[in-house]
Amino acid sequence: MALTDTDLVARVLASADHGAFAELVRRHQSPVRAFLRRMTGSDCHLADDLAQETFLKAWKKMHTFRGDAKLLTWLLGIAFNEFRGEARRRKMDVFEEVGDAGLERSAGSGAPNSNLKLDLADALNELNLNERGAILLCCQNGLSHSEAAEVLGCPIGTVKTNVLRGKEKLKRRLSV
Amino acid sequence: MNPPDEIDAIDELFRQQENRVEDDGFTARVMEGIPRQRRRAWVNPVLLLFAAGLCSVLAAFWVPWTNLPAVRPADLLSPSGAILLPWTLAVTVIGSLIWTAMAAVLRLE
Repeated sequence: MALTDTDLVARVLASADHGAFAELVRRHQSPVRAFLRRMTGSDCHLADDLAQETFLKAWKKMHTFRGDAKLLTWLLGIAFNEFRGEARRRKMDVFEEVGDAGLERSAGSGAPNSNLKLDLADALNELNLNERGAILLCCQNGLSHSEAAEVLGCPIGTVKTNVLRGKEKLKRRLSV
Repeated sequence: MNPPDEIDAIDELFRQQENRVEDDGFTARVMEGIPRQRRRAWVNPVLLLFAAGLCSVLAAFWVPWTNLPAVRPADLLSPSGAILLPWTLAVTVIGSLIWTAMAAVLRLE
């Protein structure tokens, strides 16, 4: 029978088991990297660097994992903090509010549903950091609002507002 | 999970997207970055034993092993420093040596 995340975490804590940690990385690398790729605007190299740093931090801080949340939620919290730190270092414009005028302008260009994957990536890049994070966690990763609030380190009401506002902007941008 | 009434076009759009990221050596790269145990397992217990041994030798130097005063029951009721101090020191030295040896053996196991 496959070991649960809790079993693997216990092994890492008890004996710094590298094999157990490698299994945890294998299980959770995909959602963490996918989240960071979307957050960085599809910059795969930057996203993977941040994901690597996320797992290294997780190894060092594993003793602080309380186990009352899912391991993936905890990992996404570290990943989001890594991204936020990098965004500040690079002075990325992601904290700025994107005006509706800009979104409507972009919405007018091109056929809306011709290439949804590219469209969605473009549209996400036009959301601010908080909206993008909230949308990705709730819609892409299927986290509840309370779990997303834990990851983003903000009140649950703020997450709900950001999800609603972000969806409205995406709908206008994608004409769905 | 989010309430069902929030499942809308955007949720559906995300569901349709392929979000799976293949490992492609990522796990191996992460594991290369994780520091190996810096010390071998036996180093810490040996250091512990050495430190405890050194301290015990120094403490034992102050215990009058050949001249420990005899202790009568009455001495325990009315403690006298002249009698109890050497015994306390001796018991502490022996006790700490035994405790350290046990701790070292347990850590080595």
